[in-house]
Amino acid sequence: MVKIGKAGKNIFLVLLAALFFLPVFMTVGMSFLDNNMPTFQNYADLLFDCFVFYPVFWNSVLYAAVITIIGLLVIIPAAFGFSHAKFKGKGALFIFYIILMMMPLQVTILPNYIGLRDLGLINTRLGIILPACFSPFGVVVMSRYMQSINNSVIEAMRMETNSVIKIIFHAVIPQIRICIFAVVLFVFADCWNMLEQPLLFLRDINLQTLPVFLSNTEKYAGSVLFPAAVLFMFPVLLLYNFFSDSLEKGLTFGDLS
Amino acid sequence: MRVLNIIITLIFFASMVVLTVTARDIHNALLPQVTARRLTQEDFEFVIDFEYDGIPQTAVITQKRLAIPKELYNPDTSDAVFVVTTIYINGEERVGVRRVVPQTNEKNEGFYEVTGGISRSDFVIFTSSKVLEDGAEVFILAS
Repeated sequence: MVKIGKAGKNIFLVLLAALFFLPVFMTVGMSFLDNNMPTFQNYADLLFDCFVFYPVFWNSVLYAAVITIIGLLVIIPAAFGFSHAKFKGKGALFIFYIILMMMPLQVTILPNYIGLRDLGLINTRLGIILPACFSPFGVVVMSRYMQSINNSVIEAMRMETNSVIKIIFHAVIPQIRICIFAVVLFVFADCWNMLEQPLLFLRDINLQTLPVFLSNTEKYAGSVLFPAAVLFMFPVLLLYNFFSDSLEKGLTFGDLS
Repeated sequence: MRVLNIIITLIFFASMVVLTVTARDIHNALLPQVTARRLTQEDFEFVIDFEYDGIPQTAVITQKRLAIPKELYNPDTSDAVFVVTTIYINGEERVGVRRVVPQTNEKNEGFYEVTGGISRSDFVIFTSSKVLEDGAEVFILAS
């Protein structure tokens, strides 16, 4: 049997990482190339000659920010309910949540469309925001994390107040901050990359998102797409930089805490 | 590191806000600034030969015809003019120019009669701050 030394493993991991980063490097590299010559012209074309880019960029920011904020307001109490409340059918409901989380988007998108159409929310911002606010992923991850937090603080708080909101704010949130950061990162990234929902629910170009812009390759000059892809990566990378420390700890479901 | 992240984030989003507000104005400022007008109808004299009671006659009549100013187009020295058209760039309708060779016939003191190439509804470029090319985007100062 061939023994692979530590250096060999490191080289293998570096090569693997390089393989994963290759599309990113290529996108960034191509954004600075025009006819194989280095240039900033592609960025100039995007920023000063492609005005559709700005509304779609801000739409993506708006959708991702609003969904993340409203999503957290839903996720935290729901996760607290699953982890600390006692009610009939809790286990079955939690399994239902997990099944919902596992379902591919293509399965749920049509019922979502029918629901939004009946509510008259097709081609509105609310049509994108509303279904995405109730992400089962965040609830499942956070409720698992909450099961491991210090119950004595919650019990002590219960002696002082009956208000669940006060208990969540003063006893739960300070203990799950790391998990909140991780969930924020995932929910934001999920919304930021949203493609199918805007394609199906929105018709007005002024309501569309950046992934839809990037997918319309035939509509825009080739030179603007690579710089747009680089700028598309930027907000998520910035957010990742903010919360990268919390990401690993926040997704361990609290087992190591 | 955290401070650097905050600074980069602020710079990025502030730049995007500034560009959102100013990008179109910057773009327009860099375009050829043109003035465009519709061509007018001017009086042209036409000589008509005919017979009256078997005697050849010549009459000169005056008619209004679509006319292009001589300083804008001269068939002997100019090769074309530009008319305003709609072009599509990056998913948007923009104002551009189309190169047209007008067909001319009679001339009077200041104009050539236009018999083809330009219609009455076309806006013709009269002045431009830069040299124009077929299909170029322009910014119309006045029309």
